[in-house]
Amino acid sequence: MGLLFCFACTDASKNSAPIPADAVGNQAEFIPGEALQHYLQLHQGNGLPEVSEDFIVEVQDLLDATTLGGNLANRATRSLIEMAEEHRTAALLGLLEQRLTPVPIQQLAYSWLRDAGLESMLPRLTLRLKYEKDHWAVVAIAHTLLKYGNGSGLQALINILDDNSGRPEIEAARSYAATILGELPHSQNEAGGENFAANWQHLLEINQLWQKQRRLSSDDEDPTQCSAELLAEYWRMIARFASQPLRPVDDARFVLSRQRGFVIPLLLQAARDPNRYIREHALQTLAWIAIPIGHWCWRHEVDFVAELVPILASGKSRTRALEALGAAGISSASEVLWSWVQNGNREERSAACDAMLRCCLDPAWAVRLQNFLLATPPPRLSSEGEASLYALWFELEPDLEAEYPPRLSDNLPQSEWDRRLRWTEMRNLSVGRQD
Amino acid sequence: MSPQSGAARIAAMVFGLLATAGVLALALLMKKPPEIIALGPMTSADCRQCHADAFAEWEGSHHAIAFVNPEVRKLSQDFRNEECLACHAPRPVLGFEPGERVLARSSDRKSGVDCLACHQHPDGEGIATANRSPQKNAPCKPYYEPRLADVELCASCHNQHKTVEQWRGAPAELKGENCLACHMVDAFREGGRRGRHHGFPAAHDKVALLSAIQLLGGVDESSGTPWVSLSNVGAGHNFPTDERSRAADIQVRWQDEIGGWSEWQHVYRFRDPYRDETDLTNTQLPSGETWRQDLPAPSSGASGEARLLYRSNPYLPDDESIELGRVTLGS
Ligand code: HEC
Ligand code: HEC
Ligand code: HEC
Ligand code: HEC
Ligand code: HEC
Repeated sequence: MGLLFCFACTDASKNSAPIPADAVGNQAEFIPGEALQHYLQLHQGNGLPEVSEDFIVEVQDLLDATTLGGNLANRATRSLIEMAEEHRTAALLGLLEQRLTPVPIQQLAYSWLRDAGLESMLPRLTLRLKYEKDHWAVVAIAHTLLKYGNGSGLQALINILDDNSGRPEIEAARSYAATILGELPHSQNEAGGENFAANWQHLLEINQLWQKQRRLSSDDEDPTQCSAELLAEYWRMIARFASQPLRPVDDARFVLSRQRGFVIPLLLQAARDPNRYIREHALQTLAWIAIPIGHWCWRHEVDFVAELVPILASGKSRTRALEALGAAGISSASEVLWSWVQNGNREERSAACDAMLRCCLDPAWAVRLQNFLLATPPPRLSSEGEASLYALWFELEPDLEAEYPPRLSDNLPQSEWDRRLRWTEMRNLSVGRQD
Repeated sequence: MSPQSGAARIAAMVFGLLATAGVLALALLMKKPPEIIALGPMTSADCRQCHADAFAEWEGSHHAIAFVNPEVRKLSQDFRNEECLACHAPRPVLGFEPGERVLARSSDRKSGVDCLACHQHPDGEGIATANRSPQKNAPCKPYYEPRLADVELCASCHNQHKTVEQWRGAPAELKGENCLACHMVDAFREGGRRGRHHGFPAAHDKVALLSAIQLLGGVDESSGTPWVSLSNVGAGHNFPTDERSRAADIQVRWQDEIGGWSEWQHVYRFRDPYRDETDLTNTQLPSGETWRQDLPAPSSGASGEARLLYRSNPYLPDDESIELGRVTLGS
């Protein structure tokens, strides 16, 4: 653990050393850099093609025909097999994204994607987790994602397996889900009755690993790059961040916060985009990914703190950059954050205090916090910022609270306090606490 | 690591005591740091001391409760869903391009859509006013900002469901009346200065609701068929607008020969459906337009009644809804 800390400390302090808040205050509003437009152009020829409504209907009819039996079914199946893969994948996704597709057709489409879809379907397939109501389909999505090393459907699998309501539509999904258990990485057991308890335990562990590290096993290769095809689809998702209507933004955040680690560098690029909404939501998505970033950056020797420091130059997205910095749970970010606690405006201070609570693990900070919080006159912090710093102080120096009762403002809503409790719990998962 | 985290312990302490020792303990524990004279930029709470009227009006408005509103908390899982923070605890609107959507802030969330959300200069210093010649040396440094009284100010939060678009081309716009004409009526300030009322009355205010519509009904003289109509005479946008849960229902009931009334029967619903209600279409009533329907009576000459019920959500039962009007059909 000591070694870990050191790695993080030295690296960050080397590259990101003096960044007093006041020094970056007046820089350009955006950081010119390679961003969205550039990447969209670069990947224009990649990813899934656009397919017409007519083609989607054609594929739907073929799926329908596969259920009829006999020659007709054989011919339909053959047509589907012989179709260009990227067109088939795109049409199946298109079909599933329509709201009125009947459930049996949907289930067929999901099966085809699972058995013969292209990897570039992953972002749009992940999005189906947000909207899909049919339990069997949810299991199929989770199953397909797992084949590509993505565990974002694991929680849904757990929920479905855990549902003892006996409703018929759940039962079908449960028996499908049970068959997946034996396929999980490093599963020792075949799926089956007597192995269920062991498999179930294994499933819970893998889900925890996914939540913490965005990988399914500790010997996962965990590549830093994905294929050009997949990359193109990720940039198309990122493009949705610019939307004024909210739904596309919500969708893109949902998807991008549920991918393997290789989206982290993409989001860091997007966080330098000239468009403020792209920057804002890229940073927010990083903050939603949170703890896994610290682990991923550690494994791949990426200096996240150094990456984010130049992004702090943009005043308009600064609070989000501070948030992302803290959410990654990398303790060496503390020094940078502290300069904003001291010198930022009210918003920046709040964001920096919150971020400190999420990442600062070094007990040596307790003294600085104490001096700061108990100074006269006391620091003029928002109730949010103040609550975060007190919570952090007591985290770092557990015996002190009796002596210095927290001055929790009555302006702090319970839900904001609860948010800080959740952050406090997450500290135990962060990279500096790795066993 | 201690079994209970520091923060959890503070919570246990604060809220535990709260339950046992009551308000006194709360007051002691939550002793606030001494007031500091506003050195830097102000917070919305600071406005109260000098603008008590506007502040009190705002406190009674839905803008003030945007973050604490139980309806919102329920739907956002107590704002665990951070998507909901954007407009319910926004950064100052003037820091965004006109009409572009706002983003969430990190401090003072409890005050919801507060004074700074609408008035703060993008750089933090100065307070926007629609007054062309503000008293520049006032403590809050007011400056003229035409956008403050423009629909674009409201559009940053109120156009996701197209309220601003509905207003464009509506009779109100043609008359030169924007959102402020109806939602920020004149209010008189100390010293006789004309101000604008910050209560933003609308769907939670029966008077405002009543001003939106005209319900008529009767029997067609030539055919003898009863009819009912609803006109949007007073809302500068669709009725009902914005919030998708709202529904307004026309119902009818008939009287038999001995004077007994039938149950209320559903006739028509005005509403913008949720996205996943794919079987429904948008039946809001645009500004200035009239909806009318014949209601054939069960037996010729029977008399009846039609009424308009307003529901803040589509599943609200009749007896919890607001009756906005009732008309007689027939003799
Ligand atoms: C210390 C007293 C003080 C404080 C605090 C204060 N103001 Fe003012 N404000 C004034 C005075 C005095 C004027 C000028 C007289 C007037 O227009 O009422 C003024 C003017 C204004 C005006 C322009 C009115 C007009 O028609 O020109 C607005 C808007 C305004 N204040 C909003 C705010 C807001 C919002 C806050 C809180 C962030 C605030 N003020 C805080 C004293 C104060
Ligand atoms: C783009 C800005 C915006 C975002 C983001 C937003 N809201 Fe709102 N919300 C509004 C506005 C504006 C109103 C007032 C409109 C109205 O009352 O018709 C409102 C009203 C509401 C109301 C009705 C309150 C009442 O008492 O009638 C609820 C409930 C609500 N929002 C919940 C949410 C939830 C949950 C989310 C997150 C999923 C959310 N909002 C996100 C702008 C937003
Ligand atoms: C920063 C975002 C924001 C801005 C700017 C904004 N509003 Fe709102 N408004 C809201 C939210 C959020 C609500 C709903 C709060 C709730 O009920 O929880 C709301 C509610 C309302 C309501 C409904 C009150 C009710 O009782 O149903 C009206 C009317 C309204 N706003 C009018 C306006 C007008 C007019 C403007 C422009 C001068 C404006 N708003 C500017 C966010 C905003
Ligand atoms: C001509 C008067 C008038 C104008 C102009 C007007 N409104 Fe309204 N508004 C009303 C009335 C009356 C209601 C209540 C009936 C209703 O909910 O539709 C209302 C309701 C609302 C509500 C509450 C919806 C809900 O369900 O909570 C919002 C939000 C709102 N208006 C926003 C705006 C905005 C934004 C504008 C400017 C684009 C605007 N209004 C322009 C009269 C007006
Ligand atoms: C939803 C947006 C909104 C919010 C929130 C808001 N205001 Fe305003 N305010 C306006 C608009 C718009 C005007 C300009 C109206 C005009 O002059 O045409 C205005 C005008 C004023 C004025 C000058 C006119 C008057 O009424 O005296 C003062 C003072 C003022 N606001 C203070 C405040 C204070 C204090 C708060 C917080 C308690 C606040 N405002 C919250 C939108 C808002």
